[in-house]
Amino acid sequence: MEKPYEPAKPKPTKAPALAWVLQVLVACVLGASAIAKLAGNAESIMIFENLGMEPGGRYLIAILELAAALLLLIPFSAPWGAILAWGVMSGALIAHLTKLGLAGAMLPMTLAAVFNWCASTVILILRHNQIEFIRCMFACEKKEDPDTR
Amino acid sequence: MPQALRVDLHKLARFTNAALFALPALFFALGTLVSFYFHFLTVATFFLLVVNLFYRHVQNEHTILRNFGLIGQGRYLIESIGPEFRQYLYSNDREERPFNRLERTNVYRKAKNVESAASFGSLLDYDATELKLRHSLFPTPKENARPFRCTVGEERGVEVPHTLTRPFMISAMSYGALGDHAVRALARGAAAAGITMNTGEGGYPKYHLMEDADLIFQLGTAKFGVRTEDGQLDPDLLRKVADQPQVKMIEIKFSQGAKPGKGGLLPKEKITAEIAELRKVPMGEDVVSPPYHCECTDLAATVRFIGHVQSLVPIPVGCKLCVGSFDELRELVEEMKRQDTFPDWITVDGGEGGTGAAPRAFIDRVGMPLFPALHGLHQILVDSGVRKRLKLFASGKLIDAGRQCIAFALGADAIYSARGFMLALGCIQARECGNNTCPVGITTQEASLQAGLVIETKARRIQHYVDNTMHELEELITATGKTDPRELTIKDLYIPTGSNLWRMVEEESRLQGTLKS
Repeated sequence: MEKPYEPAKPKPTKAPALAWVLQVLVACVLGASAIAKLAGNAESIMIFENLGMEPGGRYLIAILELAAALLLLIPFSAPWGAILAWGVMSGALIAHLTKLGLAGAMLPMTLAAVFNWCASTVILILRHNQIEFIRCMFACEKKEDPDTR
Repeated sequence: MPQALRVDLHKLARFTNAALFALPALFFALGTLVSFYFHFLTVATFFLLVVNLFYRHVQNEHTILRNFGLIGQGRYLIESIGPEFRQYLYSNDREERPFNRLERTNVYRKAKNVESAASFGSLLDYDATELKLRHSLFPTPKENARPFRCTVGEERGVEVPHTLTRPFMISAMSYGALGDHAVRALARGAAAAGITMNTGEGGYPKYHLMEDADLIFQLGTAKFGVRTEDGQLDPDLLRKVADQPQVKMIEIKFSQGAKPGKGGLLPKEKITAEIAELRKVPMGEDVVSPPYHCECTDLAATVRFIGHVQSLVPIPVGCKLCVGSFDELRELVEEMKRQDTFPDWITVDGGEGGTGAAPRAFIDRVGMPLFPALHGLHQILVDSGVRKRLKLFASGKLIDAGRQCIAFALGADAIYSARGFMLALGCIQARECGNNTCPVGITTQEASLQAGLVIETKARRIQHYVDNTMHELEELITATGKTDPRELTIKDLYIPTGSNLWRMVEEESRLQGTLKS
C-alpha cells in the first residue's frame, strides 16, 4: 500500500568493522559461558544454587546466551542478538551486585559481564538502523549549517 | 450529556510513562526479596524505560513519540496495517479503488475458470452516470457469427502486416516495472490464448522472446534498447529488434494516461544489474525517461518521426498517446494529411490508465478520461475524412467485456488492458508496485517474492481470462444483434445525462438523436 507517511529512509550503510569485531568477541565469551553452564561446571552450579535458580535457571540462561551468540554472528539478526545479550548481561550484573558479590573468582566474571554489556550496547548503537523501533530512538533531523547552504 | 468513561490517550501516556519508572524498581525488589526469576522482568522493563526516555527526550523526528512515549508506537503499528484491514474487513464491495472488489473478483473468477453467474441484481446505481449497452430485440443467430480479423498496416500496404485474431491485447508493462516471472507468464499465456502482447518500454525484450507470443515493441521516450549515446534513435538497433520474428509491430509511445507530459519512471529500488545493462542506465538512481522524444519538437517533426520509423522497418508502426487537447489533435491530424503520413494505429490511453510509479498529481489530475477522449479522436478522424487510414486501439481500465463494448461503440478497433492481466496473474491491489515489495511477485525484482509466481500456472490463468472475457464479449455482441464488435456505434449506447459523454454527444447535431432514443 502507499505508506501513510514516508519515514526518512537512511542510506543502508555497511556496519563498521568495529561492530563485527565486538560481535565476534561477545559471541565467543557468551558461547564459552553457555557451554560451561550446560556442561555442569561446579562453579556455575554453585552460583545458581546461590541464586535459587538451580538447575532450571542454569539451563535457561545457557540457552539464552547461546541464542544471543548465534544471532550476533549473522549480520541480519545481529542487533537482536545484541538486545538479547544486553538483557542477559544486565541480569548477570544484577546478580553480581545483589547476591554474588565481587570477591575472588567473581571479579573476572563481573568484568566479563561488564565488557559484554558495554559491547552489546555499542553494537546496538552502531546497527541502530536495522531495527525500526531502535532507529526511532536516535532519529534526529540534522541541523542545517547556515554557512554551508 | 452525562460524562461517560472515555479514553484520554494523553493521560494514558502520562500513566504509562510513570509506570515505566516504577515497574523496574518493583521487579528489582521482588527479584531481590522473593525470587531471582523476577529479574527477567526487571531487565525487560528497564529496557523499555530506556527506549521510552530516548523517544521522549532524545529523538526529535516523531512528535507522537515525543509526546506519548512508547505507546505512541501503537499509532504507527495500527496505521501501517490499515490498508490491509480496510481491504479485507471494512471496505464494502464497491468502495475500493481503482478496481472495487466486485470488479476484481470477476477477473479472478475468469482467470481461475470459475463460473461467475451473479444473483439477485446489479450492485450498480442505475442512475444518471452509468453508460449502458442497447441490446436488440433480435440477437444474432449463431450461424451468422464471424471470427474477428483486424489486419494492421493494410491501409499503408505494409510489407509484413499483422492480423489480430482476437480484439484483446496485453498493454505495455515493461520488464523492470514487472519482474521476469510475470513477463514470462504473461507472454506464455498470450501465446496460448492467441493474443498479442506489448513489451513496454523496457528495452530489448529479452524475457518476452523466451516465449512464443506475438509482440509489439514499444519505443518509449527514452528509447531503451534502441538508443544512441545521446538519446537519438539508433536505426540499426531498431532493425535488429524488428528482425526478431516474434516482434510484429512497433508502437511509438508519446505519452501514457497515468503521467501524460512526463516520462516513464523506474524507482531505484527496482534497478538490478541486469536491468541496468538492458536499459544502459546506472544503478542506484531513479530512471526518469524524458517527457518527449527528442526528435519530436513540433507537430511537423512528430509526423516526420513517425514516417521515419515506418521507413526503417517492414512491420506496422503505430503510436500511443493520452489526449490533452482536441485542438492539438486536430492540428496533428491536419499535419498527417499534409505529409500523407499516418501511423498504422493510434492507441488512446485514458487518464485513468495505470502505472507502476508516477507522481500522484499526474495520476489524479492530468489526462482526459478514456471515453470522451476516444470518442473525440474518432470524430476528429471521421470529420477529416481519414478514419479509414488507421486503426484505433483503446486502453484505460478496460478489464471486463462491458466496458470494452463501450470502447468499441466509441470507435475502437481493439482493446488493450494491462491491469486486467495483472489481476489475472494474481494482483491483489496492494498498490506497492513502486516499492519493490509486491506481495504476489509481479511488480518486483526480489527473487524471494517472485518465487511465489509459478510461470506455468499463471500462464494458464492468463489464457482462461482471455478466453472467458472474449466469450463474454461475444455474448454481448450477440445481444446487440451484431456480428463484430467494430460494428458497434455510439447509437448502441444509452448515455445518461450525468455521464461525461453526454455534453459531447449533445453538441453534435448528428448524434443528438442518440440521446433521445
